[in-house]
Amino acid sequence: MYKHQRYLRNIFTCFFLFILNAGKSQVKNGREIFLTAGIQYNHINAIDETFSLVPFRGWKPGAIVELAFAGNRLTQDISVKFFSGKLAASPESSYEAKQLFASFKYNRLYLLTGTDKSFKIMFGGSFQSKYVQRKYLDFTNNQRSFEFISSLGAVANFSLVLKNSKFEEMVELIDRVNIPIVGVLYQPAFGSDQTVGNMEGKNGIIDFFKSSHVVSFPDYLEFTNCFSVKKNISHNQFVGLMYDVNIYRISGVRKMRQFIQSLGVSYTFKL
Amino acid sequence: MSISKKSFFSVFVFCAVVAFITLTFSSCKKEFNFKASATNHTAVFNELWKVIDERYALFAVKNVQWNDIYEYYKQLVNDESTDKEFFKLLSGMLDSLRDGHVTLRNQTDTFFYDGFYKPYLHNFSYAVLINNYLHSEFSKSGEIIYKIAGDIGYIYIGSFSKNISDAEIDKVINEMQACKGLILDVRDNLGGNAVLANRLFARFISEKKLVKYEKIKSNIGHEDFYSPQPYYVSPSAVKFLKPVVVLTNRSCFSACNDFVMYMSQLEQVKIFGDQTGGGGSVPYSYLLSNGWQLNYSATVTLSPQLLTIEDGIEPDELITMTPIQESSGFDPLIERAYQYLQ
Repeated sequence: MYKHQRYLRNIFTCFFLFILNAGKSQVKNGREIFLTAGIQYNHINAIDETFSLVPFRGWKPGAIVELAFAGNRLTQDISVKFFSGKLAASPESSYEAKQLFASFKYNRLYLLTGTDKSFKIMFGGSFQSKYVQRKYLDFTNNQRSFEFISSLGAVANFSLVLKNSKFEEMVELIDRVNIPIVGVLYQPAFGSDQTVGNMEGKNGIIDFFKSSHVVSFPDYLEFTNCFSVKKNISHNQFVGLMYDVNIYRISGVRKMRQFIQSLGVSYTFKL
Repeated sequence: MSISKKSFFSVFVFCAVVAFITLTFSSCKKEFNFKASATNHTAVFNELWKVIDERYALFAVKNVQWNDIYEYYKQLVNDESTDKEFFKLLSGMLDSLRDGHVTLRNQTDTFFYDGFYKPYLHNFSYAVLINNYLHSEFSKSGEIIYKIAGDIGYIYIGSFSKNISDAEIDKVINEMQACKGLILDVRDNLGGNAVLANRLFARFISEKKLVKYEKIKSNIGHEDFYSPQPYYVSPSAVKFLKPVVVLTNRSCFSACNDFVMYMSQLEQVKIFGDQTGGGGSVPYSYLLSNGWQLNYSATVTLSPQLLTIEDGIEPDELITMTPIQESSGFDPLIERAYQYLQ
């Protein structure tokens, strides 16, 4: 890694820690807890250059569960997303790949605007872990590739609450942008479907530490944008529509690109 | 619902923010490039050459000047040529690697290098084996054909591509326990799953054995490898530790080549027949942008002495089967093995 990349990464890490601490001091009593469950239809577009330049594409259903703790100034949320299914080589090949996707996210957001404003901007840090595995069908030996990335990043949340003439909340528009800055990447070695540690007979946590490495710009680029519209159907229940976009590129010794668009509906219950 | 002017302004600001993010993202997506690659012949030719250049593991073993081959063949690439002509051109380029693990396949054609067995005597006839030696008195356990003739056992395993279970092997080995020697015939076994070779070998050892090293590429350079990784096989509970003769020919390739190499390390084992066909590597696949499947050697297999086995394993005793012997129903390899074990 170049010197300037190291500096850049350190600056972002310090900034991330600053946001965490700033948020921590803002925790107030009376926080609200929201539990959201959603189903999504995901359009996946994956290019695993180790295997092919041909994109593997497909529409697959998936599920998302989110737990959010909203305070006056600080909001924290944890979400888990999962989907699995077959992707087809595009455009005209009969080859297929089975893909599994699982992600875990933790966001910690600090409100930058006034608590009584209808347009709110929140900013903070995020931690996310993602495991994506592809198993290619009808091929010799290198049937499997995967990447496990745990990253720290910056997250911004823009929300707008629309109220009716009685000043009752009607609809909330939310847009959230997440950009990971530094991460730990665990994936198979260049010329194998095994990891480096695994090749040396190491398994589990020892293999993980031996085979993973720190990644940042420009070897690891990721961008996530989640747009959602929520409407309350009672004082503690909401229904929503969501459209998420996630794109990432890993350019280490094994090159991987993936673009996922997800369209879904959600149901939120205020605990 | 009536929305105030202030709310309209908020909506406008919000939409502007979302639009800005979307536009930024759109330009970003172009950089990521998710379009299918170009499939004209020149692009596919360059792609195939690059894949082999970066991932093929046997350049040093084969002593192939891949850059020179590129220079020669790139002049012959013509985007206007038919798929069949282009397939032939790529096959010619891949043929220069002289590697049975290098294959190219599309919907209608398959290229594979057959130079490891075609120029040589076959030294095996399945018809002769069945009609003149096994008759109809042989048994089968999964894919294994076997027979006991007096106090000599005979086993034929023609492939490692279909699964052979531990129970199927144990059944055969248990029946062979009364024999004083065993002929293990792996002629025409073009390989398959290396795990089966290990599974079979485990029946002929009494202690854990180092069987091979595998060198895996660590990066795109021709000499970029991780240090060789050792592979061990532990003995099975059911064993045969008496003298064994392994019969081989040039069509014993890949996993079969590995197996013969393992067996050649054992004192009680003799290899009779012709040199094996080689294939000391693990093949991996790559899907070209035009949908054609390329297989290439992705690793280097080395013997416990760290020697390459790509060119095959030499027999302890070279025995050939002439076409006259074959037509008269005589298999000199089986005859010599039987005589040796007696």
